[in-house]
Amino acid sequence: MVHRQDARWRVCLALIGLIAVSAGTFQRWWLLAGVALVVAVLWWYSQLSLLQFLKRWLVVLPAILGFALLFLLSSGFQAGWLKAVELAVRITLAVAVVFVLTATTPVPALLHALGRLGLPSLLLATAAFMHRYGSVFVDELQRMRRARECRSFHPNLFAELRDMGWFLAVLVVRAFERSERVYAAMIARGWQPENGWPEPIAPRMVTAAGRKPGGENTPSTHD
Amino acid sequence: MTRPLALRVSDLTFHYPDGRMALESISFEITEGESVAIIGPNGAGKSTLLLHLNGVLPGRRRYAHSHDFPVPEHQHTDEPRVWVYETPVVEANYPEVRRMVGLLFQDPDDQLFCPTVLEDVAFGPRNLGYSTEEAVRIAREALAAVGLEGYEDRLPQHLSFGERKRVCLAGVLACDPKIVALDEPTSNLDPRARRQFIELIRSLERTTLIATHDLELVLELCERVLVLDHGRLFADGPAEELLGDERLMEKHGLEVPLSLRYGRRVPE
Repeated sequence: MVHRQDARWRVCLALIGLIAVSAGTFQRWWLLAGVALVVAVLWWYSQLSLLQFLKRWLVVLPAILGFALLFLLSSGFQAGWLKAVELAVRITLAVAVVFVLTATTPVPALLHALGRLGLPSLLLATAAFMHRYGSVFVDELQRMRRARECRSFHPNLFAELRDMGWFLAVLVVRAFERSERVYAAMIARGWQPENGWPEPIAPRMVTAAGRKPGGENTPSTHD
Repeated sequence: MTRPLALRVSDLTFHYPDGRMALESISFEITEGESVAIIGPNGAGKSTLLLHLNGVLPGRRRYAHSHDFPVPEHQHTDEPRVWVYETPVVEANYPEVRRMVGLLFQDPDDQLFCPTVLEDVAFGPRNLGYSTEEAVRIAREALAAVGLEGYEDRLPQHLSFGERKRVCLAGVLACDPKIVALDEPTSNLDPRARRQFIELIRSLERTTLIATHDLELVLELCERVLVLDHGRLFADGPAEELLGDERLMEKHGLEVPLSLRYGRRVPE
């Protein structure tokens, strides 16, 4: 059901959800409960994966634990743990809202919706490039790690941290070089910086003939 | 009837910011409809030369000298060094020149930067001033021309390397350029994808300039070869004659293609 709604509605609904979560506390529990209820209903309708959600939630877990420790140290155990639990609930709900949005909306449709809702073209371009090149850099990182392991690397915490620093430095340099080549490719096809980033094309126009909008973007296995 | 001059390069010199010479006094001409290969070892300046054809490099990089490398005597000038159909490649003419010269980059990830395949192929036509609807129609035709119908809403990162290369070519063709400049079009392709790509290039029917290490491809598609090494043009002549010259090939880090060496060229 959620997949069939206009992406702009989904973005607006998610935005309202995030505002409600940020305004919600245990005193205003009805705000948090309302968001949780809507998320749960949409989750159930969309049949989303709990495992995928937990993977995203794990990314924010260090932040939750860090703040929890801070609250315990600054407010004492009695008041601190309540604040920590409250924050954990709010962050978890916020992650759930974003998860429902991103799991039911392909990124191109999301970008189009954000463009139609008036997101400045520079931010739109940044989001589009992050989505396009994030996986390219992750691939490069994995290749470097594999190359390291092929040369009899014995992992330990110190070496892992040191190498991660090197890898990130190399990736920054490569990203800079790639950005120059991408810029060259853009102007080679007639783009001019003063034109700004073109507005994303509506998903209904992008969709291949005979396929449903927002259909699966399955990786190609041949060639 | 004599064919018009498609491309003229005259005394083109370019060096990088550290002073390393990339191109040194390059001059040649290409007539309309010719298919020309630029060959040479790594670092010969092939890609740099292609980037000059539609003004991608000189407009952004007027480097001052540094002293890391000895730089031969030359003058910096704003005078045009490249002409496309007699239009000088200078800043004022960039839109026109970029409409005439289509550039295929070596790494498809550099050229495929839009969220979906169709948006990427439509990028050029939209920059040329077509409406979104018209650009989408042109992009669909270009995708069909490279055999990728049905790929419109695919994400570039989910395509194979060969498919990404073909989408890049569709992006170039969508701009309907008179000259197509291809940088290592068959590198990293498996034999089937390479064969598909060669047939696509053969079907282009435009002035074609190919920078490549794939000398068998050169024999198949190009009647003329330019040999570039250390930024200098060492030879310009018929493909079979130059590629069969063992001394020339070895001197510039190349080798005679096996099909020429053993006379095993498959008749077309």
